[in-house]
Amino acid sequence: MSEKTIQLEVFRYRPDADGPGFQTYDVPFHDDWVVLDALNYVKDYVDGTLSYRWSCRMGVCGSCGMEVNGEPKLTCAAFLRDYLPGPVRVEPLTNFPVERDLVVNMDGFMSKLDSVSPYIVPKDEAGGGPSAEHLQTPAQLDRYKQFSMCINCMLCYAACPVVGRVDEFIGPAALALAQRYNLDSRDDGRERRYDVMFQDEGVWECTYVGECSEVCPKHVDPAGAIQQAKLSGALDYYKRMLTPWARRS
Amino acid sequence: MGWTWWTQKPAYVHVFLREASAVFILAEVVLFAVLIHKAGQDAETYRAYLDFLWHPLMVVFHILALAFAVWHSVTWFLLTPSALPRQIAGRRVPAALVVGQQFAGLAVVSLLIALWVAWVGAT
Repeated sequence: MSEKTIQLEVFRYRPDADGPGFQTYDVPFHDDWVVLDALNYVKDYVDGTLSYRWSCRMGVCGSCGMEVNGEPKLTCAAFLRDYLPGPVRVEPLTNFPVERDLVVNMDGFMSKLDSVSPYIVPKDEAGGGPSAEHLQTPAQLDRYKQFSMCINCMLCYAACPVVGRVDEFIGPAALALAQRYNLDSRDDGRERRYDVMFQDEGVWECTYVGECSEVCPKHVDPAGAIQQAKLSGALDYYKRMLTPWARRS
Repeated sequence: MGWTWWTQKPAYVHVFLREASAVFILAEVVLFAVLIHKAGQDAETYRAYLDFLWHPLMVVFHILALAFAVWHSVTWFLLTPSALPRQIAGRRVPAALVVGQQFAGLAVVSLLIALWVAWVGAT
């Protein structure tokens, strides 16, 4: 009996060769194979020139995000059996420049991520000082924990139509991470993040399409984080207007 | 991404329809403002405007506007739990409570308006 196969339609782009296009590969079908397994099969046994990113194979590293049949997916979590009878179309993430085949350029994303100071800014001496022990209750942890589960897979950027239309939009993951640190009781960086988060290309650019939350493999709900940031930003604005002498925290 | 971006996925279409509802709501507000203006004029002008509002094509438009308003309200109510802070006064608020309160509020306000209209009609 011949082995069961499934067809992959893989986006190919090699800067040193012809223009972009699709290449089809027939790969063995196994019930427990994911799209990444199929790509690895192609790379190992059929066409070693195929380029793509991957690492952990277990939904933790966030490296293997691609468009699978037009939907942003972690290919290590997209089972071939869900795409029967095929073909399975694999493309690089939408809204990013393509470097080669399925590899996208992440520079813009990294610089947006960096712009929101995505780390705990220690409190000054008045707040206990950076070296002090800052205890946190389960309720305080609960305020931000969901937003801290991001693995920077960038699926949310591929799903967001605003990212596709406005290059400068800070975007879902970075804004959700900014909100995550703003909600952290140990953090003192709200003021530092204010200008980036609440500029025109910050939270206000989001129209709450909500697809970022739909595609998020870690259920971070960046759309919710951004709407919550809008609310706190609006409150901050009125506080600043009514009490211009007060220190912000 | 071209101007037809909103046709690319069903989810985008849903959002676009939610946003497009503003056009119908605005049109209904304008029609209502004109109605108030006409009410201050002579009876014949007012009645002619009422006839215009009851024209079959206008009735279709009103039904369409109502459908858009309902679509906007329902989809927005369902979105609000994630848009609000997870806790109020340090306690987690269940999503069903947030959504339920809004539908209950809508029902109460609609009932009050219906009763008021019925009362005005009866007197």
